[in-house]
Amino acid sequence: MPAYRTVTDATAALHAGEVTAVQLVDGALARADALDDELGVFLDRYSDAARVAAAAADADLAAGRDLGPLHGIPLGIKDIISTADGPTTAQSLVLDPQWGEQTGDAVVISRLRDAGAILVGKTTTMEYALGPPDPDKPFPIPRNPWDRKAWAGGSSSGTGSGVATGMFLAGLGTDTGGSIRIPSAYCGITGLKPTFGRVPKSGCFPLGFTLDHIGPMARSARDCAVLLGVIAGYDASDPYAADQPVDDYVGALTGELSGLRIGVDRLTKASAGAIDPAQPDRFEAALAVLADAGARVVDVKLPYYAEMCTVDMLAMVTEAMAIHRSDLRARWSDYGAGTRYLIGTSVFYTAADYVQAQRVRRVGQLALADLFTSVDLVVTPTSTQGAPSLESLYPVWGRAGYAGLHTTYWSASGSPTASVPIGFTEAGLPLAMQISGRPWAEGTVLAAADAFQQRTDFHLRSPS
Amino acid sequence: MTPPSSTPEPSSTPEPSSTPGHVVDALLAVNGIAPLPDERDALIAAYPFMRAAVDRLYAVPDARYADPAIGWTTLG
Repeated sequence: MPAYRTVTDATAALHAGEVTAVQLVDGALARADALDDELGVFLDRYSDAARVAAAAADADLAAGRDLGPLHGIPLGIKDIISTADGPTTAQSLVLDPQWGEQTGDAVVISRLRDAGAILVGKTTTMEYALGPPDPDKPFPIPRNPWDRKAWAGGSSSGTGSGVATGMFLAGLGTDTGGSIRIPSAYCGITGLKPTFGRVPKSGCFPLGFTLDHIGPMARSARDCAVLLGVIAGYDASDPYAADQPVDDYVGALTGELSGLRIGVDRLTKASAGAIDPAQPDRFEAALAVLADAGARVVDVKLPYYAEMCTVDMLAMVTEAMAIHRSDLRARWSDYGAGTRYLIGTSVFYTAADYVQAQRVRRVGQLALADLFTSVDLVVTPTSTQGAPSLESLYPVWGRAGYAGLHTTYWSASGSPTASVPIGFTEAGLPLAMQISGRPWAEGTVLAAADAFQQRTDFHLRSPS
Repeated sequence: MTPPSSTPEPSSTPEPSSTPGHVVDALLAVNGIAPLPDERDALIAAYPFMRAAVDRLYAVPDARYADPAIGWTTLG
């Protein structure tokens, strides 16, 4: 593993003169050379440009021009977020290359560059952020760094496994039904889906307009706080971006949770038996750590759980169909089998169904807001199982590979939600919990995640 | 009021045209989508379950007079 596992440690070392940005980037690229073919992390690498940017960062820092904690830090970017460095494919044969060329840098990419971050490449995703990997298409299969026969999770697959293996120190993912939190959980790292509208998503190819989020993925909650502080904030180019003040997320990390009320829903019934034998004990142990940090933990029941999960899936595939119908009609077989099948299910729904789903979504959001008057945070499992085998993802219309996942509720609610490693399954695969908060309360969510990580080291464990 | 004799009585037995296969075929045709045979079969198998989940959204009493969430004011 690299000498510096977190952005925070690498930044401190850079500023102390113990390492250079060129060394950080060279180390990251060496990890990629060694492991990428096996793990399927990158769709495109910007090795030469990254080295040039690293040398410039070193020169800047030597001259006292410090752009902040991301200056000189190597990052990976999910390949549905447009960058000017090279093509954006959405891991699809269908996406017109002109979309990325005309888009250039997404807003979040411009903000990262302004903060001195170094992009080492574009990472694997599920096609258009939807559907399992398709072995018949010319794209890498994202394998789990803890077990090569298991899935890295998706859709921000490459960012998850790249952080876990040190190919970059952090990165960006996107989340419409769990796509930041699922690979974070399966790869044993930390990911944050911010509040819907917190981070402008213009320049990210849409999956579901009313559900898409861009967010950070990194080893630690502290690193996620650093990245969020850079990418958060209103931009008029995204009609869903919210004009909300950006908080001091790193400053919120006190390590202390006294006075905080945390609700917990174990979602045992909703898991329908798909529970790893080790998960209940790991989850209870994690709750005990939060209590040790000063929080008061109480049982709660998430309102409208099943309905909100249905809302997320219906809205996602219906909005995706609006984007893809013309191409699906003309180029059905060019799409991945899972992607086309899932979007194809949208034909089941009427326009009235879509409106009704959005009405129920409001009801669910209001009921959740009521719940958040009695607690500050809610903790749930990200998944009650570890990463599924790649084999279990097929046939693409099967559901076995997705059993035990509990991410879609928080996508429909729009709540800020972090996925945090809490230990391992009996087979040695990472397990994780979600910490969710009130709208715009990313600071509280990250503070709880960081307090947990100050008392545990699961987020720093590395696959062999 | 007695319906006109030409109006068919409601039947509890689904007409052949309302089987999942016929419905899904019609919906695919309306959308101009032509999946492969095994994909079509999977869609037909999934339709009743997915349809039932969505129908349950109409049974949420608090949604009876709710506005859609498009405006995001519920996020505060």
